[in-house]
This record gives sequence, structure tokens and C-alpha cells, in this order.
Amino acid sequence: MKADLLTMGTALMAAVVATGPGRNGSRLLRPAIDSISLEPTSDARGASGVAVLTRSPSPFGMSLTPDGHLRYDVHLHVSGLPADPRVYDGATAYVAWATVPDLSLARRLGPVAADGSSSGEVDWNKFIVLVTAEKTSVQPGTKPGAKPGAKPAAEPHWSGTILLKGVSPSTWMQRYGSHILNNGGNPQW
Amino acid sequence: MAATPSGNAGAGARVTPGRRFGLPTWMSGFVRGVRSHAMVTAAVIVAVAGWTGAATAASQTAPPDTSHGGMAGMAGMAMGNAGPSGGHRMPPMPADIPMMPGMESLHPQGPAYVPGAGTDVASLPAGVASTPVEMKDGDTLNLDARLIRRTIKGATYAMYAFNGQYPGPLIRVHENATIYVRFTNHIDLPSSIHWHGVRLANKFDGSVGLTQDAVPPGGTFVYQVHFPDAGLYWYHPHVREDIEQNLGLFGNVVVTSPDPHYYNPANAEAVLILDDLLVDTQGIIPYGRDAADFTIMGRFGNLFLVNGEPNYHLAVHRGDVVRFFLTDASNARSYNLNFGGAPIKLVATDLSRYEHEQMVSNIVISPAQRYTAEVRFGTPGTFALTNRVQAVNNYAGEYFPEVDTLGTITVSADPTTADHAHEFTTLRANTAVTSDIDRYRKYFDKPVDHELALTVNIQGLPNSIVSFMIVDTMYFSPVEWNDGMPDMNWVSTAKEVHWIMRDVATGKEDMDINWHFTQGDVAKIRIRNDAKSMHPMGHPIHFHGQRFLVLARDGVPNPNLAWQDTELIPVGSAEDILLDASNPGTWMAHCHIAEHLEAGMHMMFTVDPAP
Ligand SMILES: [Cu+2]
Repeated sequence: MKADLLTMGTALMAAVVATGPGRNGSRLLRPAIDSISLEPTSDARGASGVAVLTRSPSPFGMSLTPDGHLRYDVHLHVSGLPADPRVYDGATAYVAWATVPDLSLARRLGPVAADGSSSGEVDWNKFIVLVTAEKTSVQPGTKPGAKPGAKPAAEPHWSGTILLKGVSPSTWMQRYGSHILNNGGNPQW
Repeated sequence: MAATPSGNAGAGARVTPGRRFGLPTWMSGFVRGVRSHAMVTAAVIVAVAGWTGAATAASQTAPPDTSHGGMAGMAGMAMGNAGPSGGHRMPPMPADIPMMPGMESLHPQGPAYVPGAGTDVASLPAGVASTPVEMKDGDTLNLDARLIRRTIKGATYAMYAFNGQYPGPLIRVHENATIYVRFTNHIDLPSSIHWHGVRLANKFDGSVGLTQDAVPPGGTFVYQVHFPDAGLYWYHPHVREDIEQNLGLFGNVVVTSPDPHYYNPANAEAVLILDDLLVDTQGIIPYGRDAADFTIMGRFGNLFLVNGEPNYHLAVHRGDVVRFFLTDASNARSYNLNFGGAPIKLVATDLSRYEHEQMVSNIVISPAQRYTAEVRFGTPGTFALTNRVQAVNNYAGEYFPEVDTLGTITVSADPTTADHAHEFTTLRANTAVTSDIDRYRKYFDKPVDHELALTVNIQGLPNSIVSFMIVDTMYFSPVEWNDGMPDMNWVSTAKEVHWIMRDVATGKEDMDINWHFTQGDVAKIRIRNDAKSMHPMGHPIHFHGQRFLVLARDGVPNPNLAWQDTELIPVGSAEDILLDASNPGTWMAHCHIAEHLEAGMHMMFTVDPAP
């Protein structure tokens, strides 16, 4: 049993230690904390993108809202989308969005320029970045799943096809609560 | 088999192909072995980790290690409680963050240290609030560090104080004055006084082991302190800051400019030192005697103090502008300060004003940093001084809003006697600052002279803690605003956690680094905070005895410069600073999280006198 547990420690560490040991013998597999890989949906096979997060300018270095949310500038670079967005149900523009994990809030970051770039600001703890194909004039939409005729959300919401998506690095934060040692040795997955 | 402490697995660790994030084969054996137990017992975890735990609570007679990881310490009196936990007490867990299984029997390696233990606290003199002291050129101030009794929110604590005051005396002095400070050490540890941010003569810097020997209990040292730069400074010991500074040995120095319009007109000034103390119902959570504890993240307190008081209060009139001098004296905590929504004009930081004044809605301040800000209270009512952050609950893997009320400002309906609304809304350009900085602009685009990497090496923590920490490795906040794992953080001492400043060019680390400059050199230093280490964290990096500009953060030029001595480097970031190597001597640069400093995160640089 001792051997099992010792093995556990070593193997668990091995499980997250990538190749190419650094000076201290460790290079941990970990998503970058300053960029989001944008993966294509089945509607945009072959497309790709990245959303780079930079600190919003602040004399303090760290830019925080009054209630402590980190303020990020998001810089998108996408490629591989059809040159003409009309293939997506008559859409006329590609638009970058941010939304929160339960999709209850959305923020229009901005249109994707011809060179594939877009940018905006996000100050949510955990968020999702999307690129959609939209009609030219993006009207405030309703939340996904809202009853027909529901009041439009105060913030504009996407209504077109989702083409690229990625989650903020903070979304990768794991839970100690799901750890095997919190579950009597019986993993809960 | 021999138990091997393991913090970082080496390259040779086995990885089951294709199973990296699945359920590895080793786990089936583990599950078999413990299935009949409600949870894995702590005894097993301890035994497996090779964690000697209670067995190390041996001698209580040796003095604390005051060496900063290798410099000569001096003998102090011994304190500490015997017992199976070595006198340690686990910190209280925050609401909604349960203790991890097995933690109840772990504690930091080595005995605990409780300053004043064995002393009848009631017999100690009661501490009093700080008093300002105006000092003229040539004046001498006696500063006497000793144990005092403090009652905070009904609980009584033995703490430290300079001259019995919390914080220590507020020194007000004119720019270019030289004062003498006769320090007498009456606490139970060796000590010294460091004059943070002051470009003074090297031998009075207070860096024990580098510029002076520690002042032993009963000893005296006379500091000659010259103040060449107007601004806001602070003083604190440079020996076991995690204990001495945490318990109240700090004070501010306000250095005034001969320019009567150096700051904007204000109706009042308030000097605020922020601090947080970690307590439970029995008192202050004991410290590590031989090595600092809480070395992963530093000691985050749960009792917030402004100028030593849990309920700071200021009364002003409607329309008053208050100039706040702010210092973060916490061991590890960065704050996000709000003044109840009142508008804030940011005027100055460590060693100078900014090139341009600017309005901000909140102030982010990290350990050892200072900001001078003017706040206008235009409407009557109560304005809460709060720390508002998005804290992390590691158990849930989620953020939660944390609001700590540090004090209140009550604004009466009576109008101010002198309305400075116009000056308040006028943002000045400080041409004196800009023209001083102009002399350095030719160096802004020079190549990087030295590059530092900030990282950590963790070896020998119990496997249970390491396995939880690995859960943490998928994401790190750029700055940690709270301690979301205090039970594990507490157990980690300077014996297991080694924080590192690595010179990228030479591979040298910490005190093996000694950069050489000649007085008058202007050096560009890139500081990179390694996001891939086992447990990265934001580090407030402080250079002694000099001043620097932050030229760029993550490659983005800083549009509003000011002279600083401390800069917070977030996880994954690289910042370029321009060091004005103006002050001869061999100096220290280090992380100002007290526990990181104790865990090795300090280096040297030498400025040779100009020929
Ligand atoms: Cu640090």
C-alpha cells in the first residue's frame, strides 16, 4: 500500500510533467495563460485562430475593475474562414464575441477585419471567445434558449452561426473537490 | 522501500503512454488499497511522503534562523511550545474552502515560534497609535523595538512595536535632510532597520549579512539616513520580515519637497499603512522557528489593519480633498483599494510623482509599494475603504467576490472650508519629473543588459499536498489576491520551497548573482516570471538603494513614467526596467513577499563608485 501511494505521487506528477525538463526537471503541461486557441466548429472546418490576452493599460501594471476583475485586451487573429461570409445563411460579416460559461452575458468584441484581426476588452473571471457569421447590423439578441418573444438582452448577443470557439485560460482552473483524496479513493468521474 | 520526498518529478518519471490525463494504471492499485476506508488516512500520507512531521518538534532551545538562507544570524532568545505539532496551529480555513483530507495531522517541519511566548502578555506595555515626528537635518531619533500588548477586536496579542507605537513613528523630514536613528533592539530576535526606497549610504541600508551584522537583542545601531528624493518611504527590519514586520515593526517616512506646489492643494493628509495579521481564536498563528512557513504563497492574514486598527476612520467635510499616502506592509497580500466610489487622482508612487496625473477608480497596491493619491469626497455620507478582489476557491475551482472593509470615511453635510474642486479636476503634467526622466530616454531602446527569470523549486512536501498542487497546475492567476489553499500553504516552509531569481545569461541563482555596475550606469533589466514552474505567483521585486523606471510591461511601453523601487511582476509576464545605478555599494534585490525572501528569493548587485 505504501508502494502504491508512493507510486501515486510519482505517477500523478509524471502525468502532468511534459517532456523537455527545465532546470528543475519540470516543464508542466499547462495551457498558456495569455492566449486562447480558437478551435473551429463543424461549420468551419479548416478555420483556426488565436485570441491573445494582454493586460489592459493601467498605471498599476495590473488593470482591475473596482470589484477586482482583471481587465484584458483581447486580440484575435483568425484564418481559414470563407472569404465570403454569405455562405453562412446570407451573413455579411464575421464578428468576435466574448461570453461567460453559462452564456448569460455576451459582449461584442468587434468585427473581424479582412486581415483576420479583431479586438476588444473582457473583464470576466472565466469566459469563452467566439467568432460567428452575422448579418451586417447586429441587433441586440436574446439569450440562447430564451422563450420566443423574450425581451432582448441589454447587451448585443450573437445570432449567427458559431464558427470558432475557445475558453479563457482561467476556465482550466481545476477543483480540489474532485481530487481522489476527497472522494475516499473512489474517483468521481 | 525508502520513502522519497518528491516535489518535482524528474525527466525519468514514467508516463503511461496515452493515459496522461485519464485514469492511469497505478490508480487501480491505489483504489484497491484504500477502498474500505472512508478517506485516505493522514498517517499513510505522512509515512509515504517521508514527512517526519511531529518527530521534528525536538529542541526548543535554539534561536530562530535569521539567516535569509545563508547569511550569518545572531542569537536571540528561544521561544516555542513543545508538543506533537511542534507548537504549530493550522490557520483557520476560509468559509467555503474545506480543509483537504489528511491535513489535520500535517504541520510545518520544525518547531513553531511565538514571539513573547512565556511572557505574561498582561505585563507588556500597551501599544499606542503612531505619532508623527518632524525631524530637521541633523536630528536624532531613538527607535526602540520591543514587545507590546495590543487588544484588537477584543482579543489580546503580544506584538512588536517601535517606541511602543503601531505603526512606528511617522517620520516627516525635508528632502536632502540627513537624520540619525539610534536603533535599540529589545525584541527577542536579532533585527535591523531597512529604509525602503531611500537612496542612502550603503552601510546604513540595514541589509543584514550584506551591509551590517544583525543587531542582537539588547544591541544598538545608529543609522545615518539621507533623503535625496521627496516621496513616501517606509522602514522595517531586514531580518525574518515574515515575523518582525508582520508583528508591527514598520513605519512611514514622508519626505517633503521644498516646492510648496509639489502636490495639489488638499484639505487633509492621511498616511495609511495596510497590513493583515493571521489569527485564530487562540491568537496569532505561530511562525516557523527555523524556517519561514507559508512559503508557497506567503502568509495571507484574516485580520485587516489600517495603521494597526481594524476599523480605520476618517471624518471630513463635503467637498474635502484628502491626500492619501498609501503603503502595503503586508507579507504577501496585494490589494485593490476603493474609496467608496469617490474619484481618485493618482499623483505619485515610490520615489517620485508621475509624469502625468491621472484619474483612477481604484488602486492596486502590492507588498512594499507606495502610492500617493488625492481623493475628493463631494457628497455627504459614509464612504467605505475596501479591498475588493475576485478571490479563488481552489476547492470549487471557482472565483468568488471578496470584499474586505478596511475602514470608513464619513463626510459631513457641512461644506469644506476651502473648495479645491477645480484643482482636483485639473490633471497636471509634472514637467520636473519629465525633464529628469528626459536624461534617461537615450537608454530606453538599449539592449537588455541582464535578464532575470523568477521561478521556484519545490522538493519534499508530503505527496498529498503535491498531488493537490498538481490539480492547481492547469491555471494560475497572474496575481493571487487571496490564499485559496491555506492549509497546504501553511505546511510549506523554506526548507521545501526554494524561490529563485535566476540570471538567464549565467544560470546563477539568488545570492550567487552579483551584477556589477559603475556609478552612473543605466542598465536595462528584463524580469520574466516563469509561468511554467510548479507553482508560479506574482512577485513584487524590490531593488535596494536605487531607483528605476518601468519601461515596458509585456512589451507595451509604459506611457506614464515615475521612479519606483518595487514592481509587481505577474505570472507569465516580462517587464523591462531601467535601473539608475546611482548609489555605490553592494545591494540586495529581492521579492518583497516576506516568505519568498526567506525561501531564497534574493540576489546581489554592486555599484562601484565612479572613477
Ligand atoms: Cu515572491
